[in-house]
Amino acid sequence: MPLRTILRISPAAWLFPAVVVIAIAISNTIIAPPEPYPPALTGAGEFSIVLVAPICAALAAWEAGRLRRAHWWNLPHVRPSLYIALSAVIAPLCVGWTTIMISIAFRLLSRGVLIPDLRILLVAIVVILAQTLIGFTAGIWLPPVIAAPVVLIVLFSWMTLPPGLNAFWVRHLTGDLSGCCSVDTDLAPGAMEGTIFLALGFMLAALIILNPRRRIIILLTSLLPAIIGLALGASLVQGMGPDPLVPRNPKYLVCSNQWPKVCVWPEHKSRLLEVSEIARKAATAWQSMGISVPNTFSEHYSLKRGENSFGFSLEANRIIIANSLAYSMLPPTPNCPENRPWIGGDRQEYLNAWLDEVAGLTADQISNEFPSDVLQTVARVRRMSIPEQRTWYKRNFQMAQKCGSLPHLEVDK
Amino acid sequence: MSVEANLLDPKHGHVRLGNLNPRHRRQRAPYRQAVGWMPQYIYAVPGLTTREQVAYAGWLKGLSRARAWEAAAQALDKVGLKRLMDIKTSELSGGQLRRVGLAQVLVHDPSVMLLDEPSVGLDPSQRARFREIMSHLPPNVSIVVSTHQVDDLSELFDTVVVLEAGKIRFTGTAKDFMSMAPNRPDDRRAEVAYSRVIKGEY
Repeated sequence: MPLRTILRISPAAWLFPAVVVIAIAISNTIIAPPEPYPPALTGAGEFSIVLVAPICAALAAWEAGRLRRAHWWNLPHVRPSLYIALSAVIAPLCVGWTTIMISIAFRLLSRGVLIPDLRILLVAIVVILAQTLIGFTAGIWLPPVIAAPVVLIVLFSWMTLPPGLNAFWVRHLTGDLSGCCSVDTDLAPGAMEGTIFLALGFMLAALIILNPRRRIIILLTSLLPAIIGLALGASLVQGMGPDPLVPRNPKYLVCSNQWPKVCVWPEHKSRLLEVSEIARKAATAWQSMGISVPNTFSEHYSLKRGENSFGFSLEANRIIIANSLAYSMLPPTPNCPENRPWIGGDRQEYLNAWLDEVAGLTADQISNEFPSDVLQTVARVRRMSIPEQRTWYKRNFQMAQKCGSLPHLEVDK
Repeated sequence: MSVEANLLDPKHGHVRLGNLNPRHRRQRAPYRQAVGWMPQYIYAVPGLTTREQVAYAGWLKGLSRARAWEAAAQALDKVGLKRLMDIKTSELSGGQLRRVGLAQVLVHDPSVMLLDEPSVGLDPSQRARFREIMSHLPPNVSIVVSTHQVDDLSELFDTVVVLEAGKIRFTGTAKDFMSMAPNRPDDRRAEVAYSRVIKGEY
C-alpha cells in the first residue's frame, strides 16, 4: 500500500503520538542510576515495551482484520504470505520500533549518552516483530473486534505478570530488560538469547498458522517451533536471579597509579582523582592504627587477596565514598551452618563506624549512617590508646567471622 | 474454479496452463500470475478507495507498487469506474463492486480469467453493462465463466460446458448447445437446451 494510504487508514498512524507519550511516561517509572551507563539507560527506556509490543500486536490484528473482512487472505496470491503480512503490519511495526527508540533515546539523552545498548535494542526489535506477527495471525483467525482486545490483554499479561511469579526464569523471556543494570553489572547474555529464541519460536509458529490451508497438521506443526523456542529460551535463563544480570567485565575499569590503587568504572572516571585522595587518606589513617590495608580498592566485585570491593554513585559525596571504602574493610560474611548462625553480623556497623572515624569522618558526619548507641560506643573506643583500639578492632574483626559467636564490642572498663 | 485458481489442490489429476503446473513450487507464482480469479462475492477492503483496492490486488499478484498503481487506473477505466477511483469501495453499489472485482482481475494482465457467477445479483441494467464490459475484454485473454445466467450465452461465449454434480454433461460450441432447442424463441433457447442436457434428452 502506498505510504499516503497507510497514513490515511491505519490506526497505528493516528495513535503514534499517543503511544509515544504513554511509552515515555511508562519508562520514566523506572529509576535509572545517575551514571551515563548505556545498558542501564537503555534498559530503563526499553521498559515501555511491556505496553508498546502488545499495542503493536493489537494494531496488527486490526490490520489483519482488513484482509479478513475482504476475504483476501485465502486468495491465491503470488506474493509469499510473510511478505504480505509484513507489508500489512508495516505501520504498527514502525510505530513500535520508533516508539521504543524514542523512549530509549529519551532516557539516554537525559544523561548525555548517544549510543544505546545494541543488545537490548535488538531484543526490543525482535520482541515487537514477534508480537506484531502474532497479533496479525490472531486477526486473520478471529474477527478484529475480538482479536485486537484479546491480543492486547493476553500479551500485556505475558509482559507484566511474570515478575510476580516465584519462578524467575519466566520473567527473563518476556523481553522486559528494565532490570538491567547498575554500573557494576551487565546484561546476562542468556536473557538476551533466551528472549530472542522464544520470540523467534512463537513468530515461526504464528507464520505457520497463517497458512491459508487450515489443517490440523499445520496447527500441530506450528507447536513445534513454539515448544523448541520455549525450551531453548528456558534453558538459557535457568538459574538466573530476579534480574537478568552478570558482573561487569573488569577490563573496563579505570585505575589510579598511586597507593592504594583505586579502580572505578569508566562512568566514574571523572571522580577518580577525588576518590583516590579519599582512599589514600583513609588507608594511611587505618595503617597508622596497625590495620592491614589492601593494595587495591576496586568497584569490581572481587574475591582476590589484597583487593577490596567498594562502590559509589556519581551523586555520592565524600562521606558516602569514605564510608563505602570503610565498609569494604569489614570481614566477609561467613558461611555458617544452620545450628550455628552468624549472630554478630548485624553489629558490624560498630567496626564500620570506627573505621569511618579513623578515616577522618566526624561523628556528626556519620550520624545519619549509624544509630546513636553505635556512635556512643565508638566514641568511647576512640578515647582509648591506639594499641587498645587496635586490639578492640582485631578482636571484634576475628569474632565477626565466626559462626555462633557475638563480637565483643563493649569497652572493657 | 478454486482448483483452477490454485486455491485448492486437485485430489486427482493435474491442472496445467501451458507448461505451468502449480503443484511445483517454482511454477506456482507464474501460474497464479497468469490466472486471474474473480470470486463470486466481491468485498470492499475497509478504508481503501477503489483505485487503492485494485492496486492492492495487483500488488498481491506480483506487480510492483508503482506498476500496480498505474495498472489500477487503466483497469478501472476498462470497467467504466474511472470517475469513482477515489471513492471508498465500501460506498459502491453491488454492481459497481462487481466491476471492481473484474478490475482486480484485469489489473495484472492474466492470460486466463476465471469469473465465478459474475452477473449474479445484478439488476438488468447492471447486467447489460457487465456484458458490454465483457465483450470489450482483450481478445487474447481466455475467459472461463461459471454461471447460471444462460440468456446471453450465444452472444458472449464460444464454448459451453455443462456440469451437474461434478460430472460433465455437455461440452461443445455455443452454437451446438443452442441447436438443441432449435424452434424456441431466442430468449428461451439456452434455457431449454440446458434443461435437455440435464434430463439427458440429447
